[in-house]
Amino acid sequence: MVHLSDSKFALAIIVPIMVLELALTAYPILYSLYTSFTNMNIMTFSSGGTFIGLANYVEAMNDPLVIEAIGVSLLFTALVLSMSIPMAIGLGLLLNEDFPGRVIVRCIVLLPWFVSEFISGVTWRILTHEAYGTFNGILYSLRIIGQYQAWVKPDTALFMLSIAYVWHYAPFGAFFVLAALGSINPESYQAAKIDGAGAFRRFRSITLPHIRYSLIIVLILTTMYALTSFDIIYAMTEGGPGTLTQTLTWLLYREHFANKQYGYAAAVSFVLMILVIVIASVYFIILRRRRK
Amino acid sequence: MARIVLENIVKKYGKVLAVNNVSLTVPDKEFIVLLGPSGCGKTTILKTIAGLERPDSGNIYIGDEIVNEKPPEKRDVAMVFQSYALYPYMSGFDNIAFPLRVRKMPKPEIQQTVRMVAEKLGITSLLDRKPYQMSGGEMQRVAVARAMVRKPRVFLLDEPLSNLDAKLRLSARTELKKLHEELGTTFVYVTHDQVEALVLADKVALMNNGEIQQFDTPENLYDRPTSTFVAAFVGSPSTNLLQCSLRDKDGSAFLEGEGFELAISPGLRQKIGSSTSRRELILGIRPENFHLSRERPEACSIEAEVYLVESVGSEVIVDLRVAHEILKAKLPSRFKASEGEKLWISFNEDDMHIFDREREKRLF
Amino acid sequence: MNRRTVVLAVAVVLTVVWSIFPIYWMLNISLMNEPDVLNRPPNWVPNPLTFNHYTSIIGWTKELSRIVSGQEQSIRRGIVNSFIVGTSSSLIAMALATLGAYAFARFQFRFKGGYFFMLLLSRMLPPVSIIVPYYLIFSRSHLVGTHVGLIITYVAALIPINIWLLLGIFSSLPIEVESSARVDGCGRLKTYSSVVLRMASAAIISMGLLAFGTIWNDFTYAQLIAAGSPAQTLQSSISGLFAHYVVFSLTGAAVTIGMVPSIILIIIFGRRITQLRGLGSMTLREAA
Repeated sequence: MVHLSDSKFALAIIVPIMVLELALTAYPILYSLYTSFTNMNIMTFSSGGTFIGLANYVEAMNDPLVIEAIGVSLLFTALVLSMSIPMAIGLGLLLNEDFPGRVIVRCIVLLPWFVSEFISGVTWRILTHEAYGTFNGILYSLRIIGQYQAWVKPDTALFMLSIAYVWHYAPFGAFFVLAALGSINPESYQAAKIDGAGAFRRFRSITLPHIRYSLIIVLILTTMYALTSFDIIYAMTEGGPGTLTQTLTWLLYREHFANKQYGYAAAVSFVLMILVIVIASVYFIILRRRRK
Repeated sequence: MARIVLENIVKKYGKVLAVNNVSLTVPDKEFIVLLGPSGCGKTTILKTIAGLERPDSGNIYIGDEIVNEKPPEKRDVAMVFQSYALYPYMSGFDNIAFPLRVRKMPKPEIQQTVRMVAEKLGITSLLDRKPYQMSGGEMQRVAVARAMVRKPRVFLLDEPLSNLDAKLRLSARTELKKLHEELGTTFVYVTHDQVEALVLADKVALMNNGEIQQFDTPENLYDRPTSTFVAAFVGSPSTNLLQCSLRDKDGSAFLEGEGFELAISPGLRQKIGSSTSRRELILGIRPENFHLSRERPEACSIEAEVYLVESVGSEVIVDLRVAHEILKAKLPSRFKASEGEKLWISFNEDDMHIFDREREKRLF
Repeated sequence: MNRRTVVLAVAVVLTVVWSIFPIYWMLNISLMNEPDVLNRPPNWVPNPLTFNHYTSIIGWTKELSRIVSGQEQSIRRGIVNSFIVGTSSSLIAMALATLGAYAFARFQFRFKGGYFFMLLLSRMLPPVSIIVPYYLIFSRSHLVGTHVGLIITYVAALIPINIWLLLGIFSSLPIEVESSARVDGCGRLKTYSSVVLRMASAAIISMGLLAFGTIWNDFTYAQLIAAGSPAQTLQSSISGLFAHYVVFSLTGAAVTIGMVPSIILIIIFGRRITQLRGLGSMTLREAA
């Protein structure tokens, strides 16, 4: 066998891997971009559709469903953030305390995160089922409610969805916070106590600065994930009732797989990506300012 | 035949020139030491011989065969690393057997060879142990056994004694020397410890800044250092180096420096004169060549004040102040002196090493 | 027994209940007969206890009823497919990732930094956006609804992050042991396979297990590439259970089985992860 030089040997390994990766990421994205400029749908699939420039994007921006979906995505994200961030902090603080069985409790807290997002959704769907759901059953048997209710009503659908999502998601943030808390020297608290600082003051002056960086990461990641979440919607509400929980990702799914409007769906997928990038940029700008 | 020849080896790491045009011939069966401070390029040279590094330019011959393109596994060299680099998940036996297994030696033969080598090095008890169950000295022996087991034509050793404690280091050093005598293989050994080098080597290549300063027998390195670097590096405490100028006054010659004026013989004056026309020089004297007396001797001498006296058991190191310089003298322990005392230093002209101040090279 | 302890204890109990209750409930109903599930109010503990749903999924006992048998079959198929796809993908992905990481860790070559950057960048996109073109491309290549299509997808998704993690691990291995192996007579590949892989074996196995868990838990790719086909995974099968007539107890059984790998992974890795750095398992979203 010919003896390859070290760099050729390495390239012989890396290049095929790169080709595989690019074929499955760069190529699809570019293909999607191209598709978004065509009117491809199920009927014109084999021929590839005709080029129509930015028409899909224009239509998307004028489509009330798209606008609504963006709103739903943002609202969902806001709900998720408003619950998961405090939970992450709370869980982190709790798990940082020293108590017997701490390791087991930490493992238990991690469980919702290890279980798949989809299964989390299915579980909560069953729990909140109007006819046979568990919550109904428990509250009924405790005589808190007179009869079985629908939990996933139009008013509350998005909210319930976000609760299920937070159930799955909060441990992730909690462990980031927990890791940061681990770096705090307990003597700082003791010194502060001696100086007369109360619990809230101690939290604000010692705890918060230390976990600030972790919280920022959790904030950004949670936003990204919530904006692009899909599994949970499929599992719990499938976009309903009506379009009340139809986030942009769900709309995208429907356009592509139900309506089979491939060109339009591709355009919507890029609208989604732009939305995510915009929000990420907003974060970074705000963070830049705060640092000054 | 395992003579090693390096021709014009150059090796750069990014912007750093680690080896600067080094040429070296290691005769077959000899024990050569690459000596020098950290970063001088000695380990790089060793790795180049092993094939673990490729030089940017230059040629390497092992046994008169050019091996530039040969990967390490084909060069038939063995190497002992500073960290011993034993395979952590294998027993002592498997570690030593590994090179033989790679060469597909039949099992019974492997058993026999490994046990034989283990016995010779006294490590039979280690064959069943894993590296984390061994001490530093034990790991080192297993590493040596692993290198020995396939009877290579060249042995490369990268500071194998550095991680041992002082006492163990001495006994291991002796064992290595004996090993070389027994095996008769070419040894190339890297170290920064000059005592080790002088004791073990047939010849030493003293390196600095990627270049070989002097390649010579230990005796010559000691008696005839070719540069101030060599003079300062070899010997402990270091050679005293004094800046001085050659002066001719009233028919006599002097070496004049800060705080002293040393008369020199016409013979010495002539030798200097025929070597160089320059007058700015450096005078080197080893601490062990100092003669100290309380009265001014007739021979050429320097006046000094005792700064510090350190007893090292069998010897005494006396720090002497001459103007702004501190010189070190090494004397037998019976010598007594007290701080602040005025003494006179003298030495034989034969013990004087004279260097050109600008090029720092030996004159003759 | 001061106030602080009481508050702490209550908080811990609430947290545990919050985290475990949904999971416990799924297990609970899976062990009941369907009529008992539909009880108002429902039973806290199965009474009588029955393993029927599990055995019928496996195929041990006769299926519950003709109406439901299709569901059981689809769950069974889903489990098998998830296994097939999960193990193949993690094996292939780990094999490629370890080799690739070794190349990055120990060799120099042109555009090395560029390749690495591209590798990481390629996986920063939301799966939903990628799935759109994937479906079209796979349709053309007849990969929709096949094991191969899923495997390719997962392998491509897992390689970058695994290379990244393995790069860190390989770089921290003592290079002198590898140099020793070279001098002892091993070529580069043999050094890699005999020495490096052995030294990092614990980490590699852990990562392989986590990769399996990640694939098992994936829904987006699985559903959109293979739903309704013979190759559909368990997660897709579960979503299919809601299509017509929902049998809660059976669904609970399917969900519980779907949770098993996650639970096993927590048992294996829980201690290590909760020591501190809680990375948790990766969903394909982080990998993708």
